[in-house]
Amino acid sequence: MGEKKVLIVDDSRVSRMLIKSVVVDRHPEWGIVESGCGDEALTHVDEGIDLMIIDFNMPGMDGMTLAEKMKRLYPTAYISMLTANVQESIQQRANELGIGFEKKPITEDKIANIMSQVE
Amino acid sequence: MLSEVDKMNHEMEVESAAPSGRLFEKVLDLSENGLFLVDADRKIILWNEWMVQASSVEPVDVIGKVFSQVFPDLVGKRIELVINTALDMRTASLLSRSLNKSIFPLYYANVGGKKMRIEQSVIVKPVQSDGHDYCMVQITDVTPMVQRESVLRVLAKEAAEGQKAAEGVSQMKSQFTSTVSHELRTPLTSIRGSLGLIASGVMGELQPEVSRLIGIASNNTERLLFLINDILDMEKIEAGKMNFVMGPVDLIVVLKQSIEANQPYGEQYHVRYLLQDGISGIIVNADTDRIMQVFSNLLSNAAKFSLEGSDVDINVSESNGMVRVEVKDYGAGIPLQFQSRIFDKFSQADGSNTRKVGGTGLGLSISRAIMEMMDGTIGFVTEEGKGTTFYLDICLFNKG
Amino acid sequence: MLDITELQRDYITEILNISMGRAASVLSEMVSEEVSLSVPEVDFVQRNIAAEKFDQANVSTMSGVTQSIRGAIYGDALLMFPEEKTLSIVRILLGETLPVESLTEMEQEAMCEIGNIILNSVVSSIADILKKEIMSSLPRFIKGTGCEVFAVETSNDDDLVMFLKVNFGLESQSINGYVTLILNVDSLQDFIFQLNEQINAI
Repeated sequence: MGEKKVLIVDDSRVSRMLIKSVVVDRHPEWGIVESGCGDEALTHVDEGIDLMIIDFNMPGMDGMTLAEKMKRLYPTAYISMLTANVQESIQQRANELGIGFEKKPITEDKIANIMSQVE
Repeated sequence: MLSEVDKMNHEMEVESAAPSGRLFEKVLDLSENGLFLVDADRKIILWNEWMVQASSVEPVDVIGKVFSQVFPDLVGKRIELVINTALDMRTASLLSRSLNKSIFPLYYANVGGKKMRIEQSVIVKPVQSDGHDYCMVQITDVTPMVQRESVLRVLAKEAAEGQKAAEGVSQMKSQFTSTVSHELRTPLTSIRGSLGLIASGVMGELQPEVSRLIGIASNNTERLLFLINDILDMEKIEAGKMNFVMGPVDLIVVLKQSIEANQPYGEQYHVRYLLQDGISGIIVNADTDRIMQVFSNLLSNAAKFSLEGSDVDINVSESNGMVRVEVKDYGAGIPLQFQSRIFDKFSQADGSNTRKVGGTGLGLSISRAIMEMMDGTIGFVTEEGKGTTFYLDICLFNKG
Repeated sequence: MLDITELQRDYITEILNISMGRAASVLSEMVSEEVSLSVPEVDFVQRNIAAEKFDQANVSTMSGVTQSIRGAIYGDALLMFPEEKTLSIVRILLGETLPVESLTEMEQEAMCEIGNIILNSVVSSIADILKKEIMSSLPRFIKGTGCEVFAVETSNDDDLVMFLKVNFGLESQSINGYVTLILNVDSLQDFIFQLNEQINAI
């Protein structure tokens, strides 16, 4: 148990708000870091992140590329891809990388499911 | 007591009093499209005559049955999905034939009696009645459209292949011509060189008769070389590969240069080239080399067809943004029967003239092609016994 | 022009992206190519501005699909691409090449289905935001310039166009087109109101 740190990466502010509200609701003691894009997210590398929720469809670096990089930098963190684009190829890639995968729209259940991986 | 007839009449009256049911069903059965209706429980509640014919399934076998039972092979397929969205979300959908190759198992018998698959385009529309949701499925036979399209495809492919083949042939022809021309030019150039050396006397003085014969050989070698160049030019023009560098050109300067270059030729025929006096400063839009080629052609033709000792007049005039250059000879004129062919390839007024007059027969066709490429025109006015005027219309150069 | 806040724009974009994602997976399943769809931009503008936006970006004519919508919102929904791109999309999705420079009858029908899938998805997500019903007609294939398509000459100046830039992603290329919904002002007021309700609920 104890405090965990969550990194939320999504270009949509609304999405970030939604995810954040679910996390805060269930674990008000957890720390939350938000990022609007891949490059910005990478600057949080030295902050001891336990859980990453990453949107696939972002301008610039896409979510999968970011997830690959993060996996190398944070082998112990749990990473989950969250996306509106649910193609076979993306799901497969997520499996290969060993990261989680959830389809948008964002619901409390789905976020809870992701969080349970590090609780 | 009602007789049978009375009973029948009574029944008919009852029927006609409420025409809706029977009449509308009959109308549905007249439809040239398949129609069936599905209710919110996914049960089929209407199945028209077209469906019966195409599926060989009677209404009594499907009415009241669930869609997935009647069409077990279609479970999980797009058609089931859209029927569901029509019923649950009242969304209308179209299933095109191209993206949905074979939707329902429906057949017709062709002329030979063989069972053929009906090509289908399907529309699914939600409908509500009495607070209930239903879904209408309409099937259109698009077999004729599919057949038309496959004919279209074959034709389009053939046309494209034909074009490719034509391009291939054209390319081969170009390659052939340039290879052959090169193969012909090389030895001819050697021959010309050798003859030139001999004619110059460097190899020793020549007897007059020998000199005359060498002269004939030389001239003909020149002629052949000109012919090869003309053929190559024609080929380039036809293949659209001739490079035109268009720009402002001082017409009079270029005309004078052409006249000077053709002077020896004129002298050979004892003909004088006379350029109209007092004109200068006319700038046209042209390719310098090509326009000189055309001038050369007209000037040499004029000399060839002039009477010995006569003049060839060259006049320039302007009108409507164009400049006209006229080359006038006072020779025999162009015979009527030949006038329509004058710009054709390899045509000359008289087969026998060829020997006397020389020339390749390609000059005017090349000139015409060049003028066309420069957005100009070439033409002539002639009178038998009086002479011929060839004229060129060239565009003035417009800055901007 | 309608002024919407960054947050409102964000919310609409997110909802539309989700519905586009669904449409993309439906399409992917139907064809041999993987399709992805996204909405990078949303704007609310007047008809003549919409016409300009179309014509500015493209020298050629546009072609695509239209459906009329009625219910909580009255108007027309359009999915349009530059003509050559419509050709590319249809031919790539059908997996065919044809040496014909315009869509054949059957290809137009296929485009209608593609448009129907995408527009139905967009319209249903708008309906979700409104929490009301919106029904669409069947799709129709159309072609024209911005002015023609938005009937700038003949129609109501008050109408606003919800103008979405759409990215149609195929394995071989990425194609930009537009989805537009021509809406009357009342519908729009309602839309913004419901939007705010939902944003505040987060």
